[in-house]
Amino acid sequence: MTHSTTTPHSARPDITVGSLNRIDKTRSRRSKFLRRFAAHKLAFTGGSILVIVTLVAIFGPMLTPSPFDVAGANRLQPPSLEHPFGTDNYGRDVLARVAEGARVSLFVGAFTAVCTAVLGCAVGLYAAYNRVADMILMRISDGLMAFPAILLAIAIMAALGQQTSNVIIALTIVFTPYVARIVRSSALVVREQTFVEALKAQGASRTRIIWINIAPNVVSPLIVQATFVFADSIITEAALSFLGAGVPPPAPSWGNMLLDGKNLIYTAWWMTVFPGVFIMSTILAINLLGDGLRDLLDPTYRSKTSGRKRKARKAARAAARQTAAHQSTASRPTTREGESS
Amino acid sequence: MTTTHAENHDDAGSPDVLRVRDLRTSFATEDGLVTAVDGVSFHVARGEILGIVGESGCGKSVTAESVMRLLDEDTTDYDGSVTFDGTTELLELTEDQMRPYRGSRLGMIFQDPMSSLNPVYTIGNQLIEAIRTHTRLTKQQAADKALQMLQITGIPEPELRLRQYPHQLSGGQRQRVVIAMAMCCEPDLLIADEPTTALDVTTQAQILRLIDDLRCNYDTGTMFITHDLGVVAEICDRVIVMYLGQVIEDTDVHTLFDEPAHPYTRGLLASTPSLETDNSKDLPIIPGAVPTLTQVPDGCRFAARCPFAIDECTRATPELRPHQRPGSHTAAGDHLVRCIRAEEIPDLLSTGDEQEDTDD
Repeated sequence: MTHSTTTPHSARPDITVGSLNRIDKTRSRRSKFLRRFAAHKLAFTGGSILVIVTLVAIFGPMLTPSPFDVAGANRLQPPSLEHPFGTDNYGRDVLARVAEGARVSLFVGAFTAVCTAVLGCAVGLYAAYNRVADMILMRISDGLMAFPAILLAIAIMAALGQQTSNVIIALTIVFTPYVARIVRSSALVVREQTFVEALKAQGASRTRIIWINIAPNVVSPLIVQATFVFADSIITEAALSFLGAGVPPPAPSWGNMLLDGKNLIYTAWWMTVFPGVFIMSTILAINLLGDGLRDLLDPTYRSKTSGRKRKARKAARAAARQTAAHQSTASRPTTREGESS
Repeated sequence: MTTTHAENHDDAGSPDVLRVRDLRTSFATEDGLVTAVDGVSFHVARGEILGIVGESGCGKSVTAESVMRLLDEDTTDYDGSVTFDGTTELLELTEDQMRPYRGSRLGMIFQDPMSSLNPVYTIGNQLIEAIRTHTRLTKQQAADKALQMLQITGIPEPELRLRQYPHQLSGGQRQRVVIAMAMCCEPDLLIADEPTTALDVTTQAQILRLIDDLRCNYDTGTMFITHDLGVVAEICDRVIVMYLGQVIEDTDVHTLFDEPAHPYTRGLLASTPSLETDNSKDLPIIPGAVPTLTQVPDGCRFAARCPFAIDECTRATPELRPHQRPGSHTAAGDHLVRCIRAEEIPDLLSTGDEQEDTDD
């Protein structure tokens, strides 16, 4: 750190915009967050599974045969060394299709999460700051939320046509109101804080107050909600595809693989089990991650995050109990054994 | 620097930086229209510190926010006139016209330094933003200016503070940052809304000295809102006492403490402990509580709690009028009071007559 100097001007060369923007201790704070993340067992498990699924999505299709190769002779092969997940009714490798499906599902999920976060953030912030817009936007989102998500998604798909990009559009429309609601309610809380009034008193414009100053304050709930949207959109995409209204065949998605396997579930269990397991574990992983992020980003949770600390405290408590027990038996020799234990 | 401004009260070419006349601020609420500030008039000269004193809910902060026009325009109705720098009628400006005044010519310090800075940006970032809102300085120049402002406020290690986040600073340090932010464009009028309430006593004294220094160096007119009479005695030149949205006494700080005219002011002073206070006796209190704004009493608003109240008090709202006390050392017109019996009270007190009047 620069030492405080006696003359005010001698210190000025030290200070540059660069040094202002460079956040002191950024590195240590980031590694602190990673350490807390690693200590949070559920978040860490979720994150690890998600990383594995992502790796499968990225590298799987390179290592497996083409998911579109039809081989009549290899129809409905059970899992073997050659086809670890077996083959489907067209002789296509199920592992290759699951890996390719992971690409589709994760892409749809992630893209929807990002679109929803951006759109929901914009709508929520705008609604929080403009009473008329609030009325209109929130009534629209009430309307959208009144429909069951899957029904609305099917309706939108029917209107737009069966394409992967349209799945993303439909899911974004379905999930944006949920994000907008969260962002709006957080922004309403932030808006009442003194610093917003102080900014107004400094002559900051509305635009600056909303987008530069309030927005960063609602990022934590936004990230958490976006994670859940990620999970929800993967599951909704799978449901859409299962119903034949999602990703169009022959492109594999976990949902339409379940649809293909549905009629053969008694003869070829591997056609449904493997995509099913992937859906389940991915959703579980993302939800665990979302829960963990919610805990980690909540400042009031901080005291109970570190597993190591918790263990240390538990050990300390046990030790204290033991010494107390020792003392009580030692100091009160008349106490009978049955009482002290 | 004390009380030469009152004579200029009605001169057009006065040096007053702010002149508020008959300000009425009302809110549309579910219970109907609530008038939080009801006909408040005062003026602030350059280099003068005007204290605004009163209990919670008497309209001090609303007065300040009305001058800055910070209240929600959809539900707030302003009436009267707020003249800035002798020429600009602040209440008639549009929001866009008002914005350049805020922060550059009108600065404001808030009560709670803990929440008046944005938690997600560094101090430097926020100061630079504040400076660049009103000037055409480059980022580097603004950073220099920010550092200079922090040095003026006497914050330790100002270079380090620029890179820190608000949560890394103590309350006193944050209030210094807030003051630096309010002063960075050298405003003509500084509104301090209970700037020391949330701070401990030693920090309070330092912040008060800082505000006093700043008004000397920059010739800034200051509206100092507080409920702490000790702070008033310390820093203010003139004082207005507010009660339930109205000014009930307006005088210089010496007269306020030596010859308070309004029974409410007397009550406030009597209920403030000092070194001479007899510890064995209970501190006097003002009986009753401030009525709510939805049920404003007729006549004098203080009558129900006033030991000197007579029937006449509840008949008509008393005017804010010059206090005429024979032998008083203040010039006529310097000491305004909103009480019909102000002149009689010292005699009532000395003869012990008050007991009789309380029974009315």
